[in-house]
Parts: sequence; structure tokens; C-alpha cells
Amino acid sequence: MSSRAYTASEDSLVHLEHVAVAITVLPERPGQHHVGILHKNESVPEICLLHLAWHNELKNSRPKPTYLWVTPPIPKERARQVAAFCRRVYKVNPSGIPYAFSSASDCFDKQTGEFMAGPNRYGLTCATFVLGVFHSVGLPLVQYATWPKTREGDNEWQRHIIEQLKENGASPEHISHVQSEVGAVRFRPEDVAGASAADSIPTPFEVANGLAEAILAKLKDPGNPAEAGLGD
Amino acid sequence: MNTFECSYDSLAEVDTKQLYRAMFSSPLRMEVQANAGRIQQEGRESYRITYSGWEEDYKVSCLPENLMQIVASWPAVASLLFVDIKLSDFDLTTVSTLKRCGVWPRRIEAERQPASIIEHAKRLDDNGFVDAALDIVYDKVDTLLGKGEFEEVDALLKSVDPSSLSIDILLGLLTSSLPARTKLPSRGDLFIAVEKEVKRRGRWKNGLLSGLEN
Repeated sequence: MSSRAYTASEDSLVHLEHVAVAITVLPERPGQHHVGILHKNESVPEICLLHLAWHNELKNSRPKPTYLWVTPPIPKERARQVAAFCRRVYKVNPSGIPYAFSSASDCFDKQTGEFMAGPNRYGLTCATFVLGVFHSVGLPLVQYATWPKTREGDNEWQRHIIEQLKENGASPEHISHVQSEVGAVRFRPEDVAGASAADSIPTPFEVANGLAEAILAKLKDPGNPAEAGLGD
Repeated sequence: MNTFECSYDSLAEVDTKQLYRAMFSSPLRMEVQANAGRIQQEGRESYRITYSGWEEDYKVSCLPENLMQIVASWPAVASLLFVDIKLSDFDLTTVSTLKRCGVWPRRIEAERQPASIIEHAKRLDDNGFVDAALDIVYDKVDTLLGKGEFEEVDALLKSVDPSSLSIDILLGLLTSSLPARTKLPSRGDLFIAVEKEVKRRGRWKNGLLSGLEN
């Protein structure tokens, strides 16, 4: 794997070519990670992190240095298009995007870029949000069918999310929808970051999973990329 | 009401790119696009542009030459500007230039023709504001598709001359129209033409058009 993983320090951001997948550890829940998309607007110029922070909380803000970011293996001309789509998605979703476990494929409206609610689309996680953005511009990051149906801890995590939604005032109807999705394939934040670090996309699970481990190691020890397997 | 002002008093001291940069750096750019602005003449030799945000007004004072630059460089806003002064307050050159930039005095607003987003995007792109140009392409195409105006988008794609546009803009057109590809019969021809043009320019690389096929 090439050296395409950086910490989100000011120095490293100069290397950003339009777009990257960024991952961090949630300080309130060690072991739980969060993922979003770093995107650059050279006309302003500014670099923002677009991420689904929580239920109906789509944020677009300056990245914190605690993030590690990975450039996906796409031509820079296409990366610029992903960045443009990120700006569009943020613009047309002023009320945020619901949090749920729906599929990432075709989750944005075919015409407007707005998150598309529907019978099988109740919301996204931070990870499926990232997958959905890339999927919508013709650059799927993962081979969806290769993901395991369930992994240890997935069901517990999904039930934890439902409890959090209840505690944070999500509507009973939304909670009911999310409950119906328990057992859905889970794409973890580190899976998405790992897929982005592959040499080509869409990335099968086995490859993404192996790279995810290296990324998590680098998150723990940002100063030692070689040891994490992300160095040259 | 608070105001934010930036003034350009002398064309000689204002680098065109610096001016563009200042306009695009406005924190209210998104809001401005969703609202409207006013152009007022201040005396004989300067204009004041007021952009109305949700909570604040943003004002720019400038010379006529700068006004043209601003309007030309900010077409997404230009199409929303209301010209608050009488036609007679402008000299004919000014009116003519404003029209070319998509800004029409109110009194003849009914005659307004849809401005070409391709021209707007190209103008920005030529001045080095590639991402601003892409925003215009994405906003326009998405808005039209959202209204179900597939024929208009298809006509837009059909009108594109790939040899006259940058690869970034061509990719923007293909990407923004991708979700509705089955309803856009001209898109397939554009894809082929873009592929051919990219190769002609020697810019072909693996993955450049992957996933954008019809």
C-alpha cells in the first residue's frame, strides 16, 4: 500500500488533493471510531470535513488534528468531482440526514443529491454516508456483497445506537424503522478508511479489513506510520 | 442590522484575481446565492452592491470596471441580482455588459433569457476558479433534474462542445447528470465525445471516466 495516510495537521493538509476519507477515535467512546470526508474548495479556498455526526446532524466544519486521513485511489480530476458533490450534498440537506442502518447504495436522490428517505432508506451511519457519497458519483469504495452479514459486536452496537436515539429524542416512528434494520450488514468506519487506502476500488472486505487494522494502529500511534504498515 | 463592507476604490490597485478571491471568500456566499442583491449607483463613478443575507447585509463599493468583474466572476449571484436603479442611470456599455453577464434591469426582466451555465462555468474556469465553476454546473443540473426538467438538461448536454471546455467541467457535466443517465439520451454521446477529447489532449489515465458510463 502506498503512503496515503496522514494526520490532519495543518502541515499535512497541503497534500490533500481535493478529497480524502478521514477517521478518528470518538473521545467519549474509546474503541468507537468516526469517519467523514475531507474536501477542498480551491476557489474559496477552504478545507472542510463533511460528516454525519449524529441523527439529523450533517456537519461541514474544519477538521480536527485528531483525524487521520486517507486519499482514495482515484484520479485527482475525479476527486475534485467528489468534493463538488460534497458541497452539493451539504447544501441540499440543511436539516441533516437521519441516522439509521440503511444501505449506502443509491441513498441520495437521483435528481437532487438530497438524502432519499423511503421504504428501505431510513438513514445512514457515518460510514454508510461516506460510502453513499462516493457511490453516487460513480466511485463505489467497497464491494458490498463481500461484507460479512454479521461480525462480533455489530448487533450490540446497533442496539446501543437505538438506545441513544431514544435518549436523544428521535421520533417513535424513526426508532421503529431503525429497529427493523437491526441485523443489517454493518460497514464500520475503519472498513471505509481501509477501503480508501487500497490500491484500487471497489475494495473487497478482506483487503479493506487488513488495511483497517493498519489504520487503527496508526491512529493509536500517529508518529510511527511504518510500524502501522502505512509507510513507504 | 450589521454590515460587512469591502471597498475597491481603484482599479489600478486591485488585481483581478485578488478581487475574485475576495468575492468568493465572502462567508455569506451560499446565502447570497439563495437570496438577492441590489446594485445602486453611488455618484457618477462608483457602484454599491448590497447582498442580502438572512441576518446581515453585505456591501461592496466598486468602480464600474470592478462591477463588471464582479458580475462576470460571480454568475450564480448575478442571475439573482435586482438592479434597483433606472435604466437611464447606466450607460449603454454598462447595460450591455450586465446583460451579457446575465444581469438584467428590472424593467426588462420579462425579456430575460436563460443564461448559459456553460458560459458562466467556462468564464470562472478560465479565471482559475474551477471549483466555483463546478458548483454552478452541479447546482444548475441538480436543480433542473429535481424539477424533472430532463429535456432541458439533455439539451444542455447536447449543446456541449467538448473541445471548448476543460476536462474538469466536462467531468462535472457527466458526474452531475450521472444519476439521471437513463433519462438523458444525449449523455451517452457526450460521454463518448469526452473520452475522445481527453485522449486527443493526451490526458487519458486509468479510472478517469470509470463509473460515468451510461
